[in-house]
This record gives sequence, structure tokens and C-alpha cells, in this order.
Amino acid sequence: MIEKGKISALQMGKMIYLAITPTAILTASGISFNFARQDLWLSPVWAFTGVIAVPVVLGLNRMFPDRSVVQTLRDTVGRLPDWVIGGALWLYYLYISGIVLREYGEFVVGAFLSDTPLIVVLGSLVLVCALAVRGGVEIVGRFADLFLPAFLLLFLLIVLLIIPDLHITYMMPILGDGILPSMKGSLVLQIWFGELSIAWFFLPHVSDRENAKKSLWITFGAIILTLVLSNLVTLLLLGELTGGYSFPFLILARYIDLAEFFTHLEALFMAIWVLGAFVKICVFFYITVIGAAEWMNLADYRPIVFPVALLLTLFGVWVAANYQEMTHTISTSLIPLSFTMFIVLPALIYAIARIRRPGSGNRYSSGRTRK
Amino acid sequence: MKKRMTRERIAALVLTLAGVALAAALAYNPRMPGPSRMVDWMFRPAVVMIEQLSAKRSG
Repeated sequence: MIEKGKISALQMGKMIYLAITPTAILTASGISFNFARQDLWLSPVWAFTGVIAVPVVLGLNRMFPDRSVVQTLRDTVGRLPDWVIGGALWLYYLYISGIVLREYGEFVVGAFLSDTPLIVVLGSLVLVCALAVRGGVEIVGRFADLFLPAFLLLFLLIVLLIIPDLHITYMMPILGDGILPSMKGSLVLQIWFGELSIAWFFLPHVSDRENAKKSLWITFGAIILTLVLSNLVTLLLLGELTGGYSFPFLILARYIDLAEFFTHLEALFMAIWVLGAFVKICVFFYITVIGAAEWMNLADYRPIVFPVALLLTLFGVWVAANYQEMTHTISTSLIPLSFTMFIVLPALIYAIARIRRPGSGNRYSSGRTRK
Repeated sequence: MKKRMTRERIAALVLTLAGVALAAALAYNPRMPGPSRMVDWMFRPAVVMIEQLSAKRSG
């Protein structure tokens, strides 16, 4: 493995939590509402891809405890297919990192820095992320350690302050059209829950591997809970208008007006978003760089961090012509693509490994040195 | 060791050149079709199905 750093299972959980929730809170509720309507709050409960992703990556890590993703591919599918799949995998991560980056850029430019060119907003964040990624998995893990308490505190503060303005009737009738609309609303959320499979990249670096399973399941539960809460408060404040906003949770933060003293709290949301997006982009950027370096069979990933940063910034601009086009992609074609790359691919690799080594709990031990 | 470093330098150079080429192409034609168009095309049947689901619900 190229990466020699170690993180704790708890750090991995925090990284994955921050790699999923920020963008899910920001954009998913608006997209889900078009399918689920008043049952929007229930949609995160149907987290099918997460239920598949967590056992699959844990199983893969049990079979290949100290092998990286590209090495695992090499061990299971052989030389040529591993080259094709490994290449597709890192290009996919570059693409999805570009989407995450663009979401951040569109939000910052659209809501706050309206006169700043998009490329400047994207480039400055990527530069900071590149410096963190060069530090390795331990540095990214420590950023997650540092920012998660602030993220949660500010998120809960916004939720608490908006409670007096909520209308409970907006969620009625509960399950009025049955269970199906809320399940349809969860369709787009499957992208975010599928992202739990990024744990595949981090599990080999976890020092206390016995706690990894618990940490991943707790993270999964925390993500569902956060999304239920954010969707619920968004729905109870905006009702039918939820689907009309690009960033419904921002409207929520702007709406807070407590005793004419606590007002214009969108700055809080901006803080949440920048902290969360920073860790999220760092995590995806790190995976892209590690994936590319191992695919190219390099001994060190650091020399390619800045070249990939350049590509990532450009992908952030190139990924879609405008925000509407990107939202359309997220709510349509990104769902099957993410399902393929986050769920089908790891599940297929796991199935192949099981078939080739039936009954192997820990067949590919750390003693193997084949590259 | 030296061979390894050469390999990394080449990788960094190739990625940088790819970045510069993409930047030049985007500067020349900012409306150049992006990767999302390709993804849309790859999953066209699924996209149509999901769009129909959304349209039915939105009325």
C-alpha cells in the first residue's frame, strides 16, 4: 500500500459522516420532495444502498485486511480487468469529486459571493484541500475530528432555533398515498447512502479494526437520523415550497428570527457548509489521488496531488453547464451510475472473491506481499 | 528508487498536461459537452424511467 498512515475506527466514522451529510442536507431535500411530497422526512429511512454497502466493504476488508482497493482488484479479477476497473474507479471518483466541488461553488457563489468568479471559489478550496491531502489520511482524519463537533453544534442550533416557526400540519397526511412516494423520494438519497462504500478505501488504514464494524453502523445510523431531522424541519417550515428551492436548508437558516435578535443566521449555515464541504472534498480528493497513484503503480502519491488538483478544479467547472443541469444529472443519471460504482462493483468483487476462495474468512492475509 | 521517482514524475507530467489541455479546451469552448452528458447518454433508459416517476408525482 502507498499510504502508511493509520486512523482510528472513530476517525473513519467521522470522515464518512462528513463525506456524506453536508451535500445531502444542502441539496437532497429539494430533489427528494418532487417524489415524496409530505413524506419527505421518511425518505432517508429507506437507505437500501447503505444496508448493502456496509456489509460488502466490511466483508471485503475481512478477506483482504491489508490490501488497498486496487490491490484487492488485482487479487480478485487479475491484471487486465483490474487495470480497466481501477481506471474507471478513479475517473468516477474524479467526476463525483467534481460534482461535490461544483455544489460547493454554486452554493457559495449563488448565496454569498455573487461577484466572485466560480473558478476562484473552486480553485481556492481545492488548493487548501490539496495541502491537507498531501499530509495523508491521518491529516484528513484529524480535520474530521476537529470539524465534526462544530458541524453538529451549528446544525442542531439551527434546528432548535427554527422550532417555533414550524407547522406540524405540513407533514399531513402521513403516508397519505401509501409507502411508495417516500420510497421514490429515497431514490436520489441512494447516491449518498452508497457513498458509505468509500470505507473500502479507509478500512485497511484503521488501527483498531475490531471497532470498525461498530463505527460504520453507528455512522450509518447517524446519517439517517441527521437526514430525517433536516428533511423534517425543512418540510415543516417550507411545506409545498420545499421543491422550489435549490438549497432549502439555507432558506431555513435565513428564516430564523428569534425576538428580533437572532436573525440572519445564514452565516451559521455558511460555516457548517464550508467546514463540511472541506472535509467532504478532502475525502473524495484523497480517494481520487490514492486510486490514481495505485492504478499507475506509483510508490508515492504526493507528486500527483497538485496535478490532480488542477484536473479536479477543471472538472468542477466542466461537470455541468449550470446548476440546473447538474441538479438534473444528480436526480437522474447519477443514481444508476453511483449504484453501479458504489454498490454493484464492490458487491461483484466480493462475490468473485468468495467464489474463488469459498469459505475464506481471512484468506488473503497481511502476510501476502504480491503487488 | 531512481526508476520509481522517474515514474512518478512522468505520471505528474502527464496529469498536468491533461489538465492544461482541458483548461485550454474549456477556454476555447466553454460550452464543451461535459462528462455529465456522457453519463446521461450511458444511462438513457434509466434516466427516462426516473424522469417519468418524477413527472407523475409532480403532476
